Amino acid sequence: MSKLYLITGFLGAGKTTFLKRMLTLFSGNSIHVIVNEFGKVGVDGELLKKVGAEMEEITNGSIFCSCRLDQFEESLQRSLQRNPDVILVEASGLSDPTNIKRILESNKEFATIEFMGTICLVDAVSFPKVYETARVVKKQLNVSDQILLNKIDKVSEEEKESIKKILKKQCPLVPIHETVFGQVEPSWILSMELVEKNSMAEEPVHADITLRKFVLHIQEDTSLETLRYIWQMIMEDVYRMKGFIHIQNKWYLIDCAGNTFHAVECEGSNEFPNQLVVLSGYGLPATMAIKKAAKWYPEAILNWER
Amino acid sequence: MTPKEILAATLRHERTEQVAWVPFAGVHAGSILGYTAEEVLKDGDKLFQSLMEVNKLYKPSGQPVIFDLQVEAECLGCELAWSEEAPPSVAKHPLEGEEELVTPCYCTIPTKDSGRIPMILDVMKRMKETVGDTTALYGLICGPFTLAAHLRGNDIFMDMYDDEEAVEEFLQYCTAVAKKMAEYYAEAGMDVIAVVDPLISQISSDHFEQFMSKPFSELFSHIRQLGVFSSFFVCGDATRNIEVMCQTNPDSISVDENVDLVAAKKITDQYNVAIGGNIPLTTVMLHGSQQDNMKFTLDLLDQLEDKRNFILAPGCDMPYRVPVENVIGITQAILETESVRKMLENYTAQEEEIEITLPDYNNLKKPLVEVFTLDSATCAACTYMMGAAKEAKKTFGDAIDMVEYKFTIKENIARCKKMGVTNLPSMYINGKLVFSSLVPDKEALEEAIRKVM
Repeated sequence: MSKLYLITGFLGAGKTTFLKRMLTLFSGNSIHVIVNEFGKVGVDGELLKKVGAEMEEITNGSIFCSCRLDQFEESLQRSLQRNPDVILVEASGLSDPTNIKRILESNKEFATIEFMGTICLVDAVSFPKVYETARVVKKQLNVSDQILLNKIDKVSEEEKESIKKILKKQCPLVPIHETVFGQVEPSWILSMELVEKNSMAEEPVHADITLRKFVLHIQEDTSLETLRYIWQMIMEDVYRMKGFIHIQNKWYLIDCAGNTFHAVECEGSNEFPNQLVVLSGYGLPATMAIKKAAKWYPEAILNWER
Repeated sequence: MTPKEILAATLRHERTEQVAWVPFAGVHAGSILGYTAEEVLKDGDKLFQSLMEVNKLYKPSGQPVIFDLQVEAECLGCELAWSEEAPPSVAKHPLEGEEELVTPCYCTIPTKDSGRIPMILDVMKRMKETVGDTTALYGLICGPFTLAAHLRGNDIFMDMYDDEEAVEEFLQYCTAVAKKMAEYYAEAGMDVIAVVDPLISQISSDHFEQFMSKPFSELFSHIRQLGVFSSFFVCGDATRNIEVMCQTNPDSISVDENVDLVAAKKITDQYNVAIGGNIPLTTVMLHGSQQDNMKFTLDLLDQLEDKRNFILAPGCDMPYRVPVENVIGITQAILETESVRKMLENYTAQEEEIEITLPDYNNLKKPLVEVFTLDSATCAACTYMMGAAKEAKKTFGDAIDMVEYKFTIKENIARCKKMGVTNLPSMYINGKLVFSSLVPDKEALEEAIRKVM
């Protein structure tokens, strides 16, 4: 088995510097590195040689393309031929890592990979800005199993706390560690646990007056595919969508959070059938997103209410 | 109607008998003739030859001349990292890391002599002369936001938060570059100017309206004044920006597999904007079989209630190694929809077993050339393959046997299955696959036949 760690984070968050730390951490193992970006400071050959690692760079053409995952797949296949102990994947700063996880889960040939988790680097200086301007930042946070709040020496205590507040709202179950220059405690990495993406945190004990709740009434003819598209349309602006639905003569339990659409067939339920409850919170333009989804899929969403 | 007229009518939002088909063969065009991505994007002759192959094999209504979003960036000082099987990437952004975003002087806007532009204009003119009457030609320009990111790097996302005015000014400059490029390409004979801006899918529709609506509206209006059609290409999950994109008033937009095209078309139809897309690049085109590709095309066509305002196209620039026969399959599904539908039905109908006796290949009296085609009467690639076989037959006369098996006939489908023929057209000699999809030249074919004589 090869242990695979996925490193994500927006452009400039310090992924490459952190990658070097990871290399040292696993020194003594055979390591294969897949980098999907041109870093300003690349990983130099010297260090790779010292720790006995091989590296492969994927030049992704126009770098933005999210459909060209074949290059990553090929690179991973080549890597597995060498049967390394550890595979470190640095995802491009603009890529949605959901796709990478999907590849690992759906391909039989990757069965010899033990997925250890996704580490998301967050640049404390630029985070509040790019969180507002670049959509991919939320997607990266949503799939993470551990967040490294990096460059904390460059911000005030207040700024740091306000970032952590945003992060906790966005992904309440993911542990957050603070770092400078991507320096991590080995134990953070070595004892990392995968966060179950479909089980959200229990509802808060204290009343959260910023919590917003919506109900979508779903038409019986709707396909699961359409529901998945609806989730994709709103997922960045809500925390969760859940409910029992009876569509196309089958019962499903729908439970979506983060980037994941999750539906399982189930026994019938009398509890509010065909109503999906959507939860959102402070600072998220959920109403607009839901309105838009209702406009795109008028046949699927009969109506919605707050 | 010529293929070009079908596309023009679609872009005028009229009904057409057939759906327009625009294969985005960028670096893939080079792969047909064995050229690397770098060769085909730098060498005008190789680019021209490759584009002519695309034109011949895929019978497009429209085709791009060059698919490289880094052309403008290169002219403006971005360092490129080249690759054998993909377009280049920007390795260094000249304005990255500077505290302030300063808009460059307008005197730096690329001219017809900058970078690779002279080569591109020359190929555009040659394509116009050669196939311009029957094929609409696409001139692809780098969209203002993607160009901004090429020049400024990721700092542009910070600037959008810190200094909105500076971003607006900078985007004006990038738009001015795009307008100039549109002028050069329209003058070189391009029928459609496609503004390709993949980064648009990375921002919210609010930010689109704040920063992009004005420059893009101006750009599409400018292209209209040049007397050519316009298109707005995005890639990635641009779902939530489709509507604001329509509001900038392009003639068409083009989306990839991340967008639910059937639902999106209902939105774009409200704005009377044509929509193109969205054959999946990897799962279908690169890794799928020829039948998967035909089936995807038919399914997509069947799902669209109203085919007016629709252009069939790959989600984006096709991967280098897309098998030629997959694109041939798509072409056939568009041009001969009903006959392909029958083929697929016959292919999947298992219950009706047809007994086929294969020749005793090891004991043939003379060489046997078998050509398997979708239908040499309608599929261009098949016509060429059959033409080559007929030529050989002329040369060798009675010394060889030659036969065509069209996939339109049930018995031939059974034969293909029995022999394990998966890609059409292909040519077998004495039961062995010798040429697939690409038409052999006279010498190569004759040599292959002589080998078994």
